[in-house]
Amino acid sequence: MLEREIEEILEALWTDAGIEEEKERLSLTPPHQEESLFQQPGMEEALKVAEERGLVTIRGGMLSLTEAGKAQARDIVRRHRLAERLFYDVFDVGSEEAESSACKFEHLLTAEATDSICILLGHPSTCPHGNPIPKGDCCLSELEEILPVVIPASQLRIGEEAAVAYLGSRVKDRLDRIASLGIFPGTRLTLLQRHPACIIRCGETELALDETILRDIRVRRSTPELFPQKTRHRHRRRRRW
Amino acid sequence: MSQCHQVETKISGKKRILLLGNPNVGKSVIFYHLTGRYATVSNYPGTTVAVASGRANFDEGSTIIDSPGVNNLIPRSEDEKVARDLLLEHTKTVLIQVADAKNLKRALLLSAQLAEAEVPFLLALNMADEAEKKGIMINEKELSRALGVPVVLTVATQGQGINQLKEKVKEARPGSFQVRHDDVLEEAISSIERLLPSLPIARRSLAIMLLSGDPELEKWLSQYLSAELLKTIRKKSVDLRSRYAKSIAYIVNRRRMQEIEKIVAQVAMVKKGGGSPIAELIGELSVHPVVGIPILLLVLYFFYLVVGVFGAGTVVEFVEGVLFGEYINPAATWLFSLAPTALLKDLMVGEYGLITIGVTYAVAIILPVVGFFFICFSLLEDIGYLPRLAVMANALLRHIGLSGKAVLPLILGLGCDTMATLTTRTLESKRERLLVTLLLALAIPCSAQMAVILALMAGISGKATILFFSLILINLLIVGYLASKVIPGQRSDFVLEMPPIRLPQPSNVMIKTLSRMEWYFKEAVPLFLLGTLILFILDKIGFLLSLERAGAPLVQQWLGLPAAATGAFIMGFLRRDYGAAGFFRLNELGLLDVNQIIISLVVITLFVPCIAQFFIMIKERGLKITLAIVAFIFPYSFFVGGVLNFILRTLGVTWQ
Repeated sequence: MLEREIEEILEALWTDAGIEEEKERLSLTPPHQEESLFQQPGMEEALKVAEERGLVTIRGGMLSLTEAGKAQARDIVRRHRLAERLFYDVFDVGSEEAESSACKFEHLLTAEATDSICILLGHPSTCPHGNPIPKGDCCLSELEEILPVVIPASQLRIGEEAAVAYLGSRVKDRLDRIASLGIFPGTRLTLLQRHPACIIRCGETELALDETILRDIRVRRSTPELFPQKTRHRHRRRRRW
Repeated sequence: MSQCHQVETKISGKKRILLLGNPNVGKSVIFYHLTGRYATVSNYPGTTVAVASGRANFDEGSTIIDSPGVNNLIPRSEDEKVARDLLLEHTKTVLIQVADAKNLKRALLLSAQLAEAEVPFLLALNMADEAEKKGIMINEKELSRALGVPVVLTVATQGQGINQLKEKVKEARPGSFQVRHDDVLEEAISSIERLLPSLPIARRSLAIMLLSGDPELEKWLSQYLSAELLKTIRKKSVDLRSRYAKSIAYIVNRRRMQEIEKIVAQVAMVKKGGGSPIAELIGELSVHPVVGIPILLLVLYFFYLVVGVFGAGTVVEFVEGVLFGEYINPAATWLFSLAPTALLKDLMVGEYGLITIGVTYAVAIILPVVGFFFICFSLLEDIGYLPRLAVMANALLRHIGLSGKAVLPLILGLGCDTMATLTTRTLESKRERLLVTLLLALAIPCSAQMAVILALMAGISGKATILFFSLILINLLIVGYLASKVIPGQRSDFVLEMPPIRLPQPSNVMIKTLSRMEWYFKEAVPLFLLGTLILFILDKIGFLLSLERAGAPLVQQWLGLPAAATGAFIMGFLRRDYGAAGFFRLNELGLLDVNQIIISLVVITLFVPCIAQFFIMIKERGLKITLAIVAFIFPYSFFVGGVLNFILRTLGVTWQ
């Protein structure tokens, strides 16, 4: 009932009070009254509940997050920004639409589903607007045996083949260029080498390109290897650099 | 590249056959077969920067036009724009799309756009032999049916399929391969189509380009459309763009690719396990982070051996020393000693004589060096090493704000800086073109100049030679680094296709070398003679002497060189090598010590570009930028020379 509102408050505190910039407090009566989240219906009650639960503290008209509140806020922001990425990158909707869809979507996501999206997208570090996505458990255990399904092509192992899942480039023209070379979602490519420049093969074309470009090409590993140590020598790989 | 082939783009009434295709698919070789003329042919994407044209050898009334490679009809670099504009400007154009049979999907991405443009075309699937070796079987009849245009398999380097291609040109027609987009996009397309006038290419095609965002096209359309209408169009495309996360160009191409995948699945079969393992291995090793470096050094050493030792040494010695020194020049001197006036004699065989200096330098010293340089360059090009060189250079060039692609103009500059300045068109950003133009003007000695430098250095110490080249390289890196900090903008993405390593085709290497030599002859030799003539006149009217006197304090005090060196600097502006040759002569007269040689060569190398390069710079970069570059280079080169003079003197460096 009030969950949604509480989450909005926590999210606002994280972003507007600038936890990311270490300010941490938000005025209950901000200069732009009409825009204030706290003037919306139901918010007063939500604020009360949030304080009761020990998520926020109110002192002298200023609102700040408790430790518990921070943890929860972090989680919400993570869900929101991952959802944005999902809509933006995978479903190809414009950034405004991605934003509004994400606003609804974030409240529906369970922790498990959030991690799944994160893994699917290859642990993206920023949202489409360039804000950082807080790391989740799944990101921190990246080195564990469960490898992400979708990764930046720059992280492929030498000689590994994968199919392009989506192109995540925000750099002007880069996307068009990659596309005009015939690289699209579904295209299979193999990383041949990393130094002195990355070389990939796709079809019969070999392309040399900067690693930064490869980072924007997200690929789906064809065989998500659960135990990479064991399978490392299975593929014959001629190039090892 | 070959400037001399540039033609006016509007010849009315005649039929035009335009060769179009992805980079490095063999357009220029096909051009050669269809016209009997050389356009520059190479195994390096992006070597055709200017448009070559020639009369078809199978149809008197047709003109064949070669165009730079494009991956997309929406241009990204200047050379891509050239190709697209050719398509926009002409009515009565038939297109031959040249494609790499190994890379069918990518080729069809372009075919889809041609079909959309409703221009009559046919498809030449070139390099059919390489595709076959790789196990790719293409059913050209099926493909022809799917596209609605004739398809011919060719192996251009061996002339296979060329006759069939000539016959099929008559059957070229607009393709039937049309891709339908999603409803939102289709609606936007048709709403823009309605606003467009009738033009050489289909409205639908123009509408898609406009929606994708194509400022160049908008500029071009402004001659047909009112500003208001253009504004409406722009607003429509902005609206459309906001509805998609990805660019419209991308959305459109992805849709096209989906349809292409269907066709390819029907017409092409791939059997695994083809390709030459040795060539592949060489290709792999040449871009190996460790092994690649000795290979690179080996290639450079090979260059030095052929160009520096054999060309500049053995051949020049024979041609200049024996042929010209003992026969031609004495004969000419004798002949003109019979001349009625002393002036004519001086003009032809005097101190700045057209024959004894002009022709001798152009033919006896420069020509062998340039010739051998172009042979080596063409050979590396044909093998497919140059893109790999770009990969190796990428790591280094990154530090001076350039992508690996910039290595081609820089290396070509070692042959001829003027030609190299022209090829900067293949670079994608204005910033990179500017940077490379600057570096070419400043620190890349051309092969003619190099020849004289090497000849001069050969007489003195090896250590001095190494010092000289290190100084030049250091200057290149310092100026490159600083300029990349000063000139605004970002380094452009490095994306370069690696063609397979091939066994060089002697005929290809020959065609390439000849076309470059032809270009060199037409461009350089007349200037060379003109330069000599100007010098002769300046000398006769005493201007040289007064300029020498005026420049003397700078040259004598600051650089510590004899007064006569001023003449060499003046000559250096006419031709780079000419300046160096001036020092060569001063050295022969015993006027220079080793320190002075090093100082003078460093200054003359860094010094302003030759007159031809100067003109090309104006043409490519504009007068303002060119003057700015020269305004920087002139004091800079003298500054470096002065500092060097100071250091060498203070340290009291001597050479044995």
